[in-house]
Formats: sequence, C-alpha cells, structure tokens
Amino acid sequence: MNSLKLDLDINELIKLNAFINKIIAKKDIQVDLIAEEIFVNIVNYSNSDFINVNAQYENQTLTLEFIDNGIPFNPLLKEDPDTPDTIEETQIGGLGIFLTKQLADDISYDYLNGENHLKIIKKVE
Amino acid sequence: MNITKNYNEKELTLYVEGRIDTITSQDLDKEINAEIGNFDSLILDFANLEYISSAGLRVLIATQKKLKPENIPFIIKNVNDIVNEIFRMSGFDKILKIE
Repeated sequence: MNSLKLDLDINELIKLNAFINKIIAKKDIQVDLIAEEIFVNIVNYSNSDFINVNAQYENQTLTLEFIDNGIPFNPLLKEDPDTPDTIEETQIGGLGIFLTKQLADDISYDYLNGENHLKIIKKVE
Repeated sequence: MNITKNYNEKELTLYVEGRIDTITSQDLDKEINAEIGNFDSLILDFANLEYISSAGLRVLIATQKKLKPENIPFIIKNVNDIVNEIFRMSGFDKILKIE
C-alpha cells in the first residue's frame, strides 16, 4: 500500500493526481475525477488538519482511502441532487459526490477514532 | 488548460485545451467574465479538452445563467466521448446546448 499526506490546499490536487497516476501506471479520467471530487470536498468543507490518502492497486482494481480528522461527514447519506429540467432551477451543490457515486464500483464510509475514512473501489482496465 | 480566443464579428469562440479542474476552472471563469459584453454569442470548442470536473461544470452553468436572461446564445461543441459522459451523468447535457 502507498500513502500520501496532503495539506488542505486546492493546489495539492496536482500531487494527488501524480500519486494516483503512478500507482495505476497510467492516466484514467474517471479515477482522476473521483479523486478530485473527494479531495476538493474535504478541502472545502471538512475543517480537517490533514488529508491522508492510501492507495492500493491489484487485479486491475484500485482501492483509494481518504482519511481526515474534520467534521464527521458520510457522503453516502447525502441526497442526490435532482436532475435539472431548466437552467434556472439547476443547483450545483452536491454534484461532485453524485458523480463519484456513479463512477465508483463501491464506496464505504466509517468514522473511526475521530476520523472520517472514505474508501472507494474502482476497476481500472 | 490553455484557452485560445477567436472573434468572428461578435461571435466569440474559446478553444479550451487540456483539463478543466478545480484549479483551472477559475481561469476559464475569469476569461469568460472578462469578455461578457463584447460578444453576442459564445461558443466553447472542446475538441482538445480531455477532462472536466464538477468545478468546470459549475462554470458552464454559471455562464449559462448569466447569458440566458440576455438572450445570448451559448453553445458547447466538439465534445469528446469522455467529457460527454460526464455531461450525461450530471444531467447537464439536457440544459446546456451541446453540439
């Protein structure tokens, strides 16, 4: 397993992308999207002191775990945004998590010892 | 991300290359806002766009919200399959004009 510690700074996204691309030995747009959406959510809303990312890649399956000690937040309990019919009623909050749920093969959440643990499994061909 | 601007009379085309992520989406937003008032229609050409995240989608929606009351056409064109899939998942393919 590989680990990366990140500051709560949007610019750390570049480091996160490089870390994951190295582990899966290629660029994968869907993996990038999942990682960005989760990371940015933690940076913007968690009030955490740190973000730890654990990554493991075997049998063409990537397991990513995001750990932070911020506000307890289980994204799986967040309601999906309504599919908009008109531009006027389009809301943009919650979209990142919604996209992540659609792209991931499995997501699980635990709150352990004062930390959010969000684990995402994604098959990478 | 790299943006190239081209005016044809008052029709502005922005050719957006690379990635629109949380970091670069702010530059796209600034670029569009700087031109508002100068064009009577706006085209985003995504032929060389390889990635867009929700932060980028947010800029597109915000742009559409600004232009619609002014009746200024806003068209996104040459979207590749990967980016199109993200539009489809978000449901934004139905509310943005994508050609």
